[in-house]
Amino acid sequence: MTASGLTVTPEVELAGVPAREVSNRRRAVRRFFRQKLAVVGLAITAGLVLVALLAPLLAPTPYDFADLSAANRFPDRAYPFGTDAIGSDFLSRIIYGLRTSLLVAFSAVLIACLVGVPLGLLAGLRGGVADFLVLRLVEVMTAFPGILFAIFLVSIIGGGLRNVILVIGITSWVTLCRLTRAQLLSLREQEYVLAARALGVSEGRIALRHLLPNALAPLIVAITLAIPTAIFTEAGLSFLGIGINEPTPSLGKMVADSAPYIRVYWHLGLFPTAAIALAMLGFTFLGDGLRDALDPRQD
Amino acid sequence: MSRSDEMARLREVAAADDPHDPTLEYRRLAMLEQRLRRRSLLGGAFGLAGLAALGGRVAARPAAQEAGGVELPADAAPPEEQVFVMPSDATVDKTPDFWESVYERVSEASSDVFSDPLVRLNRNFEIIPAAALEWAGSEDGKVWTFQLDPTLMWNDGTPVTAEDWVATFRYGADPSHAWDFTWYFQGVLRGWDEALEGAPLEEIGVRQGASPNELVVETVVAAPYLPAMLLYSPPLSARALAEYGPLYNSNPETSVSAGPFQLVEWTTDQRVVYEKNPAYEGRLRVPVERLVIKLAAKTAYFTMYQNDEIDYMQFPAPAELQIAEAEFPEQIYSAVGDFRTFYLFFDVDQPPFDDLKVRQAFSHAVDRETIKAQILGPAGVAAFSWLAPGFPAANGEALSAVQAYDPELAKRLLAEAGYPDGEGFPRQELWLRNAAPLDQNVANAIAANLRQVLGIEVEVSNKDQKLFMDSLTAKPTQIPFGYVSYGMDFLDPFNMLSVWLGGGRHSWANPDFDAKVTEAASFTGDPAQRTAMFQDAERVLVEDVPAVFVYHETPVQLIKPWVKGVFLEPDENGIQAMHWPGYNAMSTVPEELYIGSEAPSGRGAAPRGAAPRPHPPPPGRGRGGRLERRPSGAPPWPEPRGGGRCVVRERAPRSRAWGRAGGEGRCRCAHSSCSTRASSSSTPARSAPARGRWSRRTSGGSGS
Repeated sequence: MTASGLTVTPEVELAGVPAREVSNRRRAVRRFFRQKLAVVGLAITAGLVLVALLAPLLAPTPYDFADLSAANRFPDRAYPFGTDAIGSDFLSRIIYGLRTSLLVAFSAVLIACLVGVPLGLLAGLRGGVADFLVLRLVEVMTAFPGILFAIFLVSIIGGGLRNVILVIGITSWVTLCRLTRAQLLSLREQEYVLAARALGVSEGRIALRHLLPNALAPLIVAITLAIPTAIFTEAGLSFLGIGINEPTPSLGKMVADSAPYIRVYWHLGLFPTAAIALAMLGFTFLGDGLRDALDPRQD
Repeated sequence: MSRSDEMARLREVAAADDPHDPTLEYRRLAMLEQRLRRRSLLGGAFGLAGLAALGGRVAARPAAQEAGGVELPADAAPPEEQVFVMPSDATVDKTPDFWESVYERVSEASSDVFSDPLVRLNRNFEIIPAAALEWAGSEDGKVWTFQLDPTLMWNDGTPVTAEDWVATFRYGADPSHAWDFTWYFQGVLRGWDEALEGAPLEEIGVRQGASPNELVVETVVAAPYLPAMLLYSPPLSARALAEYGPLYNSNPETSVSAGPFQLVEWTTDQRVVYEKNPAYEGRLRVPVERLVIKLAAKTAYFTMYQNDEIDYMQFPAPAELQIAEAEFPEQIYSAVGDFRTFYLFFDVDQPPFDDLKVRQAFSHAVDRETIKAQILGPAGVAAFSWLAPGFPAANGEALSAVQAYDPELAKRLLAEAGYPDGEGFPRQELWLRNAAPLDQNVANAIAANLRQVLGIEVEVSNKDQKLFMDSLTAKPTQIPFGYVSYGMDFLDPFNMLSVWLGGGRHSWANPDFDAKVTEAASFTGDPAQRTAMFQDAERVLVEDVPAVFVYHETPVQLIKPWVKGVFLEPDENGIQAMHWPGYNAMSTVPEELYIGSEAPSGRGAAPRGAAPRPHPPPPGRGRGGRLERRPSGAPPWPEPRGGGRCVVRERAPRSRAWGRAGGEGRCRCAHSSCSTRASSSSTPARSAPARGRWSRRTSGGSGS
């Protein structure tokens, strides 16, 4: 995803002001950093990604280590986040849980992109029968509430990390597909597309070189906003007990497991809930910030 | 060990008792076990000899008042406040009858109070007469004759006869009923297996004897355990079964009782109310006048208990138990339940678990004592063998070394099997059967044990009950490695051990074990020898490690201080709790429990502001479909979707006893004496004049 793609507009080239290319990007960056929430979002996101990447270094113990004799400890010096019912260090569980959540979210959204964007391109570019078929497929998918469809799929193919990623990917490509198609519908009528077509550029090349880069800005925003949704879906599935299996830590499952303990062991509910909330907030702020930053009308 | 040696040892143990001694509990259990072993020698004699002493009767107490002919102790609440309130899982409220559905019965704590079974268990887990006054087996142990109590009457005025049991057993075997408990009598009752396959139901070996009060039960094998097995024999009413179909007890209008209670209200999702059956002349002298069963989510029980909305609950979640231990430790009781044992099992037909060394390694890697101390608390005791302490033929102490926790030995065995430090051992998925939080914790702790001791990756996966059982019993089984439990159905070692017979629910099949168990099961000689035979078989089981035994459950009960009575005094085994199977005509608990005068009044009143809906007749399944095909002239069922309320509130006055909350639903009262009843009923009113108490006294004997 090259940032240059965002700003290479034919108007600019025709106007013959090459310096604008750089300044456009700078302006976007400036717009982004002007928003306090966006910066906070970026900081949180970067922090969480860093924690997830460095989990083996940061976590005091492996996620599957348990010292049964230290079960149900409240937070103290030795266990900053306390321990759970089987004596696992809860800080380690949270750190690895974050890693699981982000892994699921990024992978699922990647799958959604790989399915949704090409279908959207196809529908938007070709129109006609292709458009009709893709739209009907999209409508069928939208007819089911996402989480219900995910539960349905998991109950068929079973839980586990890989399947959860697959299921969330499969249920969340629709938004990206519709967005891509909608962008293309307006872009393909632009003069520079007509010009390219008149010059005999192939359809595929037009799509990849001219249309997709110009549709990227809203897509990036949509992708950023799809991540917290995926995190939440994973948490929801695991909360319902049909997601990820022990001992792989999942924030959603930790919240679910803490429910019966909430009145005694507050730390078991508080920390995973806070971690989910933090991740959701971070990505949502980042997404909102990006949307405003990438919208030239904001200036 | 001879009797005198044993006594000397017991005295020694007792003399050395130090309350701070950490081994005290184990020694107490061991003593209990020995006492029970002796008791089980006697126990084996019940079946053959016929009659055990009629124990379990409430000792006479200073009488302050009387409730329904039962003298109440001085500290009891007045009869109108003798209300016992229990919770029940709202998702399971199909029927109160064992013979309709075992697993969809309303109220896990109080079902089957609408008729007396042939025998019941007293508080020392001895089989005592209930509806059968006495019984005897033939020489070959295959024909059993039960003499029924001739005074028992259904409250529609018909007598309880052998016909009721015949109809009940036929209904149980009917393939179109698809009862969820048919396996129980398989291979035991004559004609049962054939009937399940579609042979005529009339050929089942349960029939009337010389008179309507004589029931004959025939078995295919010599079955000295048959009387114990027939604990599950509260009959359905043959008349009601024919007239209203099998779900007649789910609706107060059609319910018929020959037991200590009768159904007066069934409001879906809210509550079920039983009141004392004035026509009951059986053996149970029940102080409680009214049973209120609140239908709720299991997770809500504890809050309800804290708010005094219920008097009793079982199985608080681990965290709830923590709260209870902090706030009202005196209300926590450990029962024995159904002598349930939790265990890990393997598919021994497939690698890697076809290797005995692998299984042994697993059995030495699970640290049960720490699991007991850190996770189970009062909810269980460490298990190293199959039969729980207190169960007949239990042999825990002698077998405790076979699967003892020994990490070094475990590592060595795994290395010998070709997986040093778990290298190359396939990653395992541990299947759980819809496990409660407590058992999820236990399973996670076991997984951590296996990882840390053996270096084996174990993923824990909690599965839906049906998926689990279907996968388990599939041939070949679909579960390589799982964690599940089993509890007894009748108090005989054969019952617990039979789960491990070849061709059963586990893939392990050991001809030696099978031979030993089946031989002991049908053995009609010296009970001590029979016990020894079972212990022999259990040793084979424990040593071949088809399972790693983890813990014996001792269900935690919370009981309000105003729930009183003999049932909370230590029994012969030192157990103080509501005994299995609970407040039920199969047990003597109902006559041992009363409500103290300090109980808050007004408990069990109808919820305020609620708009109760009648219990809809559940959709017809199998013979349940008869509900719709009721004979003409019978009262129509309430409209399932109607807003009407159809609740028989009081026994008296017996007039129109329904109310209507909405416009759509229309209920017609089927109460036996109700004037609006559609059919010109020939059944006499329920308030048939009480027959003299002497009949019970004479039949009950005065031995106690």
